[in-house]
Amino acid sequence: MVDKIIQYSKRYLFEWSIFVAQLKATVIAVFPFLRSIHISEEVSLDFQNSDDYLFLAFVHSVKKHIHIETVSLMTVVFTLFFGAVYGAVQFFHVPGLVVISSIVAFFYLVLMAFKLWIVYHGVSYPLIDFSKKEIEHINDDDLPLYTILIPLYREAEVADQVIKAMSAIDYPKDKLDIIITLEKYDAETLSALKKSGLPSHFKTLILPDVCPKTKPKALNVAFLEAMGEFLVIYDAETVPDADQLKKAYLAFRSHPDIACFQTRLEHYNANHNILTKLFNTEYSFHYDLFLPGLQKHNFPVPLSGHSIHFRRHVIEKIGAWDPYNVTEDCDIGIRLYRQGFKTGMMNSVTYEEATCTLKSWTIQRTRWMKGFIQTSIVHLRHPLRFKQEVGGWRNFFVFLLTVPGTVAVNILNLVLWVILVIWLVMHSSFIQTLYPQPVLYMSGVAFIVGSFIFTYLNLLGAYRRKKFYLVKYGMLTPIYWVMIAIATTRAALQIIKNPHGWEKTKHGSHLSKQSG
Amino acid sequence: MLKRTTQTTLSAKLARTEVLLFAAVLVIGSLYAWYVYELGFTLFLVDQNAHLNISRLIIDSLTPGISQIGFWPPLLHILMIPFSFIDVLYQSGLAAPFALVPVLGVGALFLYKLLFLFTKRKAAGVLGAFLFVSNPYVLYYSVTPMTEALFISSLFIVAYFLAHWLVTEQFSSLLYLGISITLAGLARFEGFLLVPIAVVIVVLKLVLQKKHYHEIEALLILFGLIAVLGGVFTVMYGWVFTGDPFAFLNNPFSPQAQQRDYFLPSKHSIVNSFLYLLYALYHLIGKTLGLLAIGAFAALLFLLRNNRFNFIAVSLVLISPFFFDWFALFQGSALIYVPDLPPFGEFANERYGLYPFGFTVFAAGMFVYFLYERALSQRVLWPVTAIATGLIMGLLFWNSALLFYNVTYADTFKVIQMSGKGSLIPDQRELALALRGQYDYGKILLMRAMQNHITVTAQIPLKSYIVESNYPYFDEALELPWFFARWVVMYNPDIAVVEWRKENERISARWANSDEFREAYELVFENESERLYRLREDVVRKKAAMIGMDASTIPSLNPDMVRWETRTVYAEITGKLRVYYEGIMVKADEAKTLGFEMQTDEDAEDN
Repeated sequence: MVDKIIQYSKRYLFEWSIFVAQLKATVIAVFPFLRSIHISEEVSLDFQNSDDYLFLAFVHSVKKHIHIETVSLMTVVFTLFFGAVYGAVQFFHVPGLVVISSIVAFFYLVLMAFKLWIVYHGVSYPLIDFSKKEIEHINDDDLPLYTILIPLYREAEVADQVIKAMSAIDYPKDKLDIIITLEKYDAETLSALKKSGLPSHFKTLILPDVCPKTKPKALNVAFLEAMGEFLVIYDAETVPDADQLKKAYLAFRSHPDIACFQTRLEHYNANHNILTKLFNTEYSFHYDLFLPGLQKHNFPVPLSGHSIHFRRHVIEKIGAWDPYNVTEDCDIGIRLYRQGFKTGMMNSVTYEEATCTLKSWTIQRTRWMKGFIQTSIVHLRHPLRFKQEVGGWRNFFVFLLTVPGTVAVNILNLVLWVILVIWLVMHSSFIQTLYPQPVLYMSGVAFIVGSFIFTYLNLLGAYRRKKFYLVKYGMLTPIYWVMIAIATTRAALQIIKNPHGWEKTKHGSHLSKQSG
Repeated sequence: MLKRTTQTTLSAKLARTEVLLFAAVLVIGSLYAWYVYELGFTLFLVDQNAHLNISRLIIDSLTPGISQIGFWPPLLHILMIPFSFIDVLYQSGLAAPFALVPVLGVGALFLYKLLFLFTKRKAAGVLGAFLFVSNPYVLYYSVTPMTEALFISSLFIVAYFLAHWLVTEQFSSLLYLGISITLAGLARFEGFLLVPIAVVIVVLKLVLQKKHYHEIEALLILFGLIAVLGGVFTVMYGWVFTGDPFAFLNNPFSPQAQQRDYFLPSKHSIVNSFLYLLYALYHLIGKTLGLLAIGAFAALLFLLRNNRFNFIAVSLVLISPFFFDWFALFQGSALIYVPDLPPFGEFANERYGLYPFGFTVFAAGMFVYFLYERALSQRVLWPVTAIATGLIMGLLFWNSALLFYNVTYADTFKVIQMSGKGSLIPDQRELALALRGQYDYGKILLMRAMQNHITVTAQIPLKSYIVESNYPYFDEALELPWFFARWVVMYNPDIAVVEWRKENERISARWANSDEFREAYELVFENESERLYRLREDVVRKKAAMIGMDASTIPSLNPDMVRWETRTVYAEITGKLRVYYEGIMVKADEAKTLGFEMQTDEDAEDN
């Protein structure tokens, strides 16, 4: 009798487990974004891939933007969103558009509170730094081989500057592994480099003529040649602090738990025109107030720009860069975080050129925002898994606010400004109906107070950097936001029309002004 | 390590003193609040009722929200909201001490910190703070819904952060200075003067330090952007709600408009303006302290060696309202009456004399400290200096105690009583009680700015009132009151008040002598200054039927219509009225062409 019961129970449990497995399989088939592993991850990283130099698993790249996971996730998100709107309409008896405007206002308030909180903590967060004395005490023999990757493309104007800047770095020449990558057809830059007298310890690497033609692909090609224990990327126009590599060495040595260090970026042509001044105040806020705040709480940091110092083996472990992502820096920051690597902020400045024409600024900002969209798409393919990998809902929401949230708020800004202008000019009663009193107050606080606070924070950033002359220009920040909003909208359109296109930012305009 | 421990102990001791001081002020303020309430002086002045009402209306009104803030600086109203929302605190006026006594505590605390910053002596700070809270008028205005104590407290905060920045040069102090100036500007318009004063002081200090032009410019922008927020809010508010950015100056209830019909002896006379302010100061602060402060300031200007710039800067901040009001009196946009000067025997706005009180306490406190330090440092003459110090301190506290005793007990707020003399509050209280007794349902049309005491006393939900800050509701109800309001409160047209008040009581001005109004409303209460009318429902029902409107769609006839679409309902009523009267005109024309006189429905009924 007992045997029979046990036998029956076992059979029942077996059948139940089969049912659960089938149910799970069905749910995953319907909602593939719930998967914990993608089929492309079952094979190891392919550093031999010379077709497009994508070493990563297919699922971690934006080679193909729209995976079935994204489609199903978007379907669920939109269904939930409009379901919630419908529910609110039924429950509160208010028009759907009012519910949407309330949600938008709430989103603004949350973002404002979050950024303020981050900045509040960022102000007092000390960056990793070393004194002159500590740097002087480094024994050159102890220094490891350091790789510097410099991807160039049509940068003949700044060829001279690259050589000068790299030569000024205080690091033993024999321990520098400088790799300049060039496209095969970019003879102009190559000849400019030669003309400028390329030192012997600089290596030039001609990239294979394969797509995509992007900076991260160039980095991946160069990475295979890199021999240094540590590695840093400098752009064509950058001028790092002379002691930056030594500082980075000390930082890596004293913080073995940190995989990469972000440096502070600064513009050497901040005073060029009104655009560069505004760009610089934005940088001051971002690098001196916002990123340190994120760092303090150990939140995922969307690494930005060049001058990020990595441990080589870490890059190898995570599959290097995604050659299809146009903001490979932001993507790699999040990917490192997902795999449990820590990032740090180092108090060393790298000077770069601020794009100084509206056209090149728009092109650059469009690319950045397009990259943010790509990074959001790629990391939210499996949101539950992502949440687990980044360490919980807290970090998940921080990612939502800092990466896709930035894109969303930029586009919403444009919409809200248009609404505001229409209301101011026409006093449209339709717009008034969208903002009944509580929503109006919420939106008013978010918009008026928020705009003031963030403009003020930009001024504060400039002040903290002792760029006193920039403070007054910071008051024009709202105009700058309009430009950002336009560039973000352009990025959103490009992601549909030309998802992998890499619009080249022209460097060296400041040089022509100087010579002029 | 030892230094850090000593610092920690010192800051712990300071913190303990601050907590004890704050607690002591809370106790003193609470006792005083109870005393004033028992005597019935909490809601004695017109402005007290007005401030209380505004605070409540922001969250409890036919149209609650920012539109109710009006043209007075809003800080007091906002601070009182959590308390005025509670019926018992609103109706008794006790919402004010709940909000203001902690403010008084904060003010005393910052005065303490200010004096400590200059003297490094806790005793100086504590004595100064107690001198401040021993003034009966400071206490009175801290326990009734008025802005005086709030403003003086905010002045101490401004002065402290200015001094702190001057001493430490910490950027954060400059930001806090900006915030506190904005708060002062939102407490009273006198606070606006702090912006240029602080800007001059900051620039001067930076120039003296030989800072680079760009750094001065950057600091000024960062500080100024915060400091002007109060002014920006005031201007934007006026622009949004009335289309006039300077509505706070030009509105029909501005002091300038109100004082149009009054005798203005200080207008265009620098000397008279100064004298009126000085006498007000004398009545509210006392002669001894006033004179001592002036003497002390003059003496310290010469005697101080190290802190002279900081002392002058802080004094300038604390005395700034005196200059503001001096100018306002000269310009004619403010008025002060004191019994000693024409029109003799009257008090009005004498409370302006209280604003420089902070300066007097600070200057006197600094002087006493200076003498005390001298006494300590002198070898031979120390007994003389010590006795002088003791005498001055004794004089200060004796003066303070005497003033407190006289005002609080012996004369029981004689100045306040004289100041409130002739107000309509007793008549309004009568009407409010009559309204409370008769009110059944429906909206009450009234000019709140003219009859503030009624809404406080009547104990009827504020949503039931249609007042001027319910803009479209009021404007439409003023045009056709019988379709919107079941009750109407207005001035008695025979009221003995100045012309300005009569003109701006728009309900009375419009309807008091109208036959059409008297036909629609029944007079149910009247006294010398107020009238209360109730709707004749049958008459309005007939009017509605006449124009073809369903009575349930008429707000004055339908008790369930708490709120309505103002423009829509008004357009429907006026549309139907137009059709009706056009029909009558056509009929009259037709009758004329046939040689008959037109007989209206009413005539037929009368026959």
